[in-house]
Amino acid sequence: MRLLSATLAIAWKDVRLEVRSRDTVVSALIFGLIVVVVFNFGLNRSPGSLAPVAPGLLWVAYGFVGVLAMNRAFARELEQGALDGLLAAPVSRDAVFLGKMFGTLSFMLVIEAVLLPVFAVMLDLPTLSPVLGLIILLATIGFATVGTFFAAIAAQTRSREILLPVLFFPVIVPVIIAAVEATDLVLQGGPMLAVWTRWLPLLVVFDALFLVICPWIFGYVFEG
Amino acid sequence: MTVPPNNLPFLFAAFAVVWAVFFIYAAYMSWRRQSVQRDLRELRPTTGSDGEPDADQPEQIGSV
Amino acid sequence: MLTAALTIVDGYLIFVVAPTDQVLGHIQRIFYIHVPISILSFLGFLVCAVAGIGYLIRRGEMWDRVAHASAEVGVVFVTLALITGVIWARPVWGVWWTWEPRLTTTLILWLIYVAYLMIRHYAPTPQQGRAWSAVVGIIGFVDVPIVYYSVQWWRSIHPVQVIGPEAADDALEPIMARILVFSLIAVLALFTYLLLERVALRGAEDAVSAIRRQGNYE
Repeated sequence: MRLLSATLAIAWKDVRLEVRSRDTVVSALIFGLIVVVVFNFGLNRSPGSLAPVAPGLLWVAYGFVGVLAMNRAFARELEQGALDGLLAAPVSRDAVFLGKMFGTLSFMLVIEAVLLPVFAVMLDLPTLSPVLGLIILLATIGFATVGTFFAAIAAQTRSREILLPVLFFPVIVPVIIAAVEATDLVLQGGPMLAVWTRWLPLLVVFDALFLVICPWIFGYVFEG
Repeated sequence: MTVPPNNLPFLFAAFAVVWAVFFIYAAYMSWRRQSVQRDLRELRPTTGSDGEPDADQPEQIGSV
Repeated sequence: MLTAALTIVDGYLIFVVAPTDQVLGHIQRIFYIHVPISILSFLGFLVCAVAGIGYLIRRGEMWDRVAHASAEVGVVFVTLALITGVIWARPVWGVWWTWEPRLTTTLILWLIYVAYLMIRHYAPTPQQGRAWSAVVGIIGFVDVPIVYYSVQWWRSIHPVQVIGPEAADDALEPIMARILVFSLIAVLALFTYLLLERVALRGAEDAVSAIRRQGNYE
């Protein structure tokens, strides 16, 4: 119970900060748009739709935007020694981790929810279904869990901008694969069996595994 | 019975790379080791201490 | 000495004793070195994860030295596994690179452990470097099986285009299998030698930096 209230307090703190300044969400949204525009020049060589590569494009953009949001989440804690205050608070490290994780998760979900219709228009996506929402939720939990963990490490170094993506993307490869394949199947409107028997379980297993491991070893991140 | 394709250059390239990397890595380590041990000899008299107790006297265990 | 003797005998076995593969030709001899190197690189990362856990629990300097050394030697081995894999793929499969599950997983593994070495380098203090790299080693090791299965599933949807003759994995003659086992032992000896060298080097480096730190405080 205490864990839950401490977690929610930390997440709520991040949300209120964001509501006041709006800098992470707005800059991440613009960045997401820029990713689509740049990819358009890179991939759309012949006049026509980008729909066949849309799932890949969507998740690459979400990944980049996620890294941006996660970097900001911990960079903010380093200003004026806020991190020391957070760590000195009489709550467990699990609560700090989960709080930061839920904060990041909510930002990312907001950003993704706004970007999705924009992508749907720009990439000419055929259908949007509720299953896509489930895929996005599960994949984003995986992103936020691993990303928050590595962002806590990267934020304490001089080269955090490069270190976070270098740590984050190799580990997150299974989530990208599962999300892209599942999104592809949903958008094609084809047989959904593989989504339910393969890609969604893979996402659930990944999320569950890292939701256990990351809080467990999170305390070691703040040593020395 | 078919004639085996002639791909010896690839084979030699592979082994050459493997041996080159192993030798360079081993040589790099022994070179580093020598320079570190030289530092150690120079530093010891000046501080009059042995550093950390368990790091004392890095003995030669690399002769498997 | 033992390592040198083993590798020389291994070279003799691979180049002289081993029969030439009837389908693939001489290139098949890469197999005797590519497979042991790949297996040993996985062992290196297993050692690294175990030593990382050991360090986090017991806090011994030695645990950390073994973890660091095995990660570095492991990265050298993975690099070689990738290079020999590429050289193998070109004549056998007709392409330099293919997104085949094992190849892809090995590449991801390489990326994770290069990041592991980077984190040690970028950590502001040695204590942070030790703890951080230990957790990255653990996460990386947990991640590898998931990566492998996801890539395998992904590949089953988008099959790899294999051009040229395919090697049948179970067509290994007894003599070939025996030489492979011998190669594995030789490469294991080499791995152990490099690992111990690296651990000893780390020990000497730590001693120097400990003295330097003391000198700074005086």
